[in-house]
Amino acid sequence: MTVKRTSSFVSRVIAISLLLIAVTTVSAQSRKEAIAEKSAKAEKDSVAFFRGVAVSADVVGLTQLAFSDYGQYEAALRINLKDRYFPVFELGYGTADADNPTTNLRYKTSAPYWRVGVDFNIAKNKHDAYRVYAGARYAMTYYKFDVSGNGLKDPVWGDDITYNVKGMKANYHWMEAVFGVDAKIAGPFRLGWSVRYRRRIAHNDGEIGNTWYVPGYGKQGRSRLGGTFNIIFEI
Amino acid sequence: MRTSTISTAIAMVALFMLAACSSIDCPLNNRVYATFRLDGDITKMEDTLTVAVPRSIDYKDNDTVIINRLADFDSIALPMSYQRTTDVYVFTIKQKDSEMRTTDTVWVEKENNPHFESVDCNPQFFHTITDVKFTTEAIENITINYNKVTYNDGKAHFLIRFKGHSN
Repeated sequence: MTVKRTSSFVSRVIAISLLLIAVTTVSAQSRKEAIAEKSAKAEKDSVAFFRGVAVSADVVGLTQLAFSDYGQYEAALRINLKDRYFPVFELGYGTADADNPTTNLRYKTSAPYWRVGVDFNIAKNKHDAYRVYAGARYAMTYYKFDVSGNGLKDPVWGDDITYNVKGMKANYHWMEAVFGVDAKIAGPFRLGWSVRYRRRIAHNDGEIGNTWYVPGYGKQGRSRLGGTFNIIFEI
Repeated sequence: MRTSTISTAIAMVALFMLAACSSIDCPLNNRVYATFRLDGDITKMEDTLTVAVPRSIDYKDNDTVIINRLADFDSIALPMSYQRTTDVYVFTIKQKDSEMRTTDTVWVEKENNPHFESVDCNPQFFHTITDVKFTTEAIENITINYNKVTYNDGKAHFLIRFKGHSN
């Protein structure tokens, strides 16, 4: 009787084990099939290499121009490659006309600048109406600036001072790390913004010390962070 | 959609930080001085020194004192004019023992170069010293040691030796 019970227990265990193995095998197989289906779908998700072109204008620079002594007009051309890679060319014109009544100094400059780089769409679904970008830019500008002072006096000797520097040549080269998003609003019309971290890589401030505003880079000595808010037309 | 909301929040914080980060970075040491250091072995001048400079004719007083009765010094720093090509300093030395006063005049010839930091910082002029001349009542010799004058020079611009001292 004891032997019979033991053999029946063993046979039950074997039977259950075999069933479990079978179930596991079936579920693993079905998973493999699902993965294979997915990869087949992914293969089917092939899009054209060239997906379009977008032209955009920055509003932040215009706002700066309206409410402060400096700012810039900026437009960008962006190419869409497979909804993933976005080579970008940005062209702008920076201008400043600032004076300080305390120091009686005035600074003027106007010059073009450009940036070139690439953005990567890091969104999970790259074909979504929303895009999340991470990218980098190389930027440069060659510019001239004027500094003039009126009513200046030598504090010790008391002489009237002429402080007038015209057409001082300078240049700036810098890199930008970019993080941004944009979203489709209607038809080809999109809106987006970007935050940028700037890092100067080479510069020539001219022969009189520093420059105050660098077209496209902003005021020297301020935060290295910058930003854009873009109105975009994508074709 | 959720990613976009988070991204928007990050951007807003970044922009507020951007707006908050404004500062004026003018140099703290913003006066341009020419420094005269005692030449030779002497470490301290015990006689009393007063230095005056002639001012613009617009001023009621003809001159202004820039160092008043300084004693026990090993070097002095004198402001330079912004745009004159020659700065004139009148040195009056009162001897410690005899209390006898002697006056010498020093002419420093220089080129003036405007210097700019920011519209928020006072204008400055840096200088390149080209020559120095002096009378020799109490001063024995002055030599140019370093001819660039800015607000951040580590070297003395002139080495000065007075008569009657072993320096």
